[in-house]
Amino acid sequence: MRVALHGNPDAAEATISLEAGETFLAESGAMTRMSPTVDITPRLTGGLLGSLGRKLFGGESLVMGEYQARQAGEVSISNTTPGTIVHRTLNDESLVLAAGAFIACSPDIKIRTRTHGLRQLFSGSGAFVLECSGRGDLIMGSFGSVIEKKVDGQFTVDTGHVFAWEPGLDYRIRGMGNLKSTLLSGEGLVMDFSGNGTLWVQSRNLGSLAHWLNPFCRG
Amino acid sequence: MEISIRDSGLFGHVDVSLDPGETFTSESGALFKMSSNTRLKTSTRQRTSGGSGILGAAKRLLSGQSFFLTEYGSRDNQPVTFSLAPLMPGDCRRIDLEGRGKWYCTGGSWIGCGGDVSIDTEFAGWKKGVVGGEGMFYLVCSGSGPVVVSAFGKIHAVEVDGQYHVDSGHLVAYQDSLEVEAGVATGGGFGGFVSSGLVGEGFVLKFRGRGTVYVQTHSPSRFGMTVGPTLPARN
Repeated sequence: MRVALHGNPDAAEATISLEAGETFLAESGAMTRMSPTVDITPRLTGGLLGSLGRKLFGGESLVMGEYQARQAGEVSISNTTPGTIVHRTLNDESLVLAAGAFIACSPDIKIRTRTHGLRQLFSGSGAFVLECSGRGDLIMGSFGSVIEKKVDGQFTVDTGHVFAWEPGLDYRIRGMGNLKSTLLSGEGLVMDFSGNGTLWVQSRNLGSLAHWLNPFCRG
Repeated sequence: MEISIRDSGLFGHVDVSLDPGETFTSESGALFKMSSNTRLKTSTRQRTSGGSGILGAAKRLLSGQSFFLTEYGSRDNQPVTFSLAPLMPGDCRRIDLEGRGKWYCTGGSWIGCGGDVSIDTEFAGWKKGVVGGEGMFYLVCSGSGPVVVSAFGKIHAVEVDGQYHVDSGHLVAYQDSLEVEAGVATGGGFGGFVSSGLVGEGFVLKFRGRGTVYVQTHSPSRFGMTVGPTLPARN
């Protein structure tokens, strides 16, 4: 499995070249175009409950597509929103992904759904995060561009702009205002990261765009 | 007639310069700046092709295009310049037709055409693209001259020689030297139909033969389906 990225930072597409027999998993609807030598089969990853949790709270699809090459071929995938695609090769490491960031991975990557608390339910950015671990390729997509930040100490990010982080980083979610305004408005939650590790932030927030579009909808 | 595509990337747009006597036709609403001597004529049909007026306009509407077309020319026998911008953020691409063959554009991707290009709307049918982008209709360009299309995201030109599959939401335009058939990406039969829906791929367009297909990196309807649920219900 080889991965080539085109179109970063604003409208990226990843083209995955597969040898005969090779497979990878991708979120529902990610495929833009492909060779006719590749088959797609639906897969529930992480069991039915895990899949349901991902679907309901993680902003990810219930079923993933497993792409398998009968003969060598190429599959191009992209994210729902215009933005950057990040490709990471995990080497017995893990990475935590915010809701919606996952696009695809090689079959040996384990995907677990993790919750980070009731408070996050109200943040509009999903109560669940995905922890991807193991060995292989991981492909993630953002809304806007992606900024890499090495954290050593403390760093704070708006929840809607968090993209991914290394699990060595601890975090705490808090409102920027008081608890009442946070719960009522669903706005203004931030994540305080602490420790030592890398954090990726995206420059646009889909929740904010939707919020801005709201008043323009005809009732 | 001079056509230049400006700002490749997410915010492509098109500059068109016409000599006196020349005309250019675009979807209405695409114009965003023009020299003051530009003459605009709004119509339901393309003058040069003598299309079928209201019926043609209604068909265009079905293809996801606007009901009205705008024709640009000169008011005072001096050259004019104007610029067109597509709705979605993305690339624009110029396709030159040389008198043979046609180009099929999906709903919303056609911006305009000049020279002796005539446009028509064609029912794709169940076989050729039930869900070919915006619907069952393609905008078909034939004749000779320039055609301008736009995309959501970047445009990739795929030179097909043999077979190639494109997700229906990502098609921009294709050459009629290619045969196309709508199908599911996940094998045949009812099982294939269900699993294709499950993996969110709906329909793929299966191209066969030799020719060019333009594909967009992002799918407008998929983006809409992501933003839609976050908006209040429409009564």
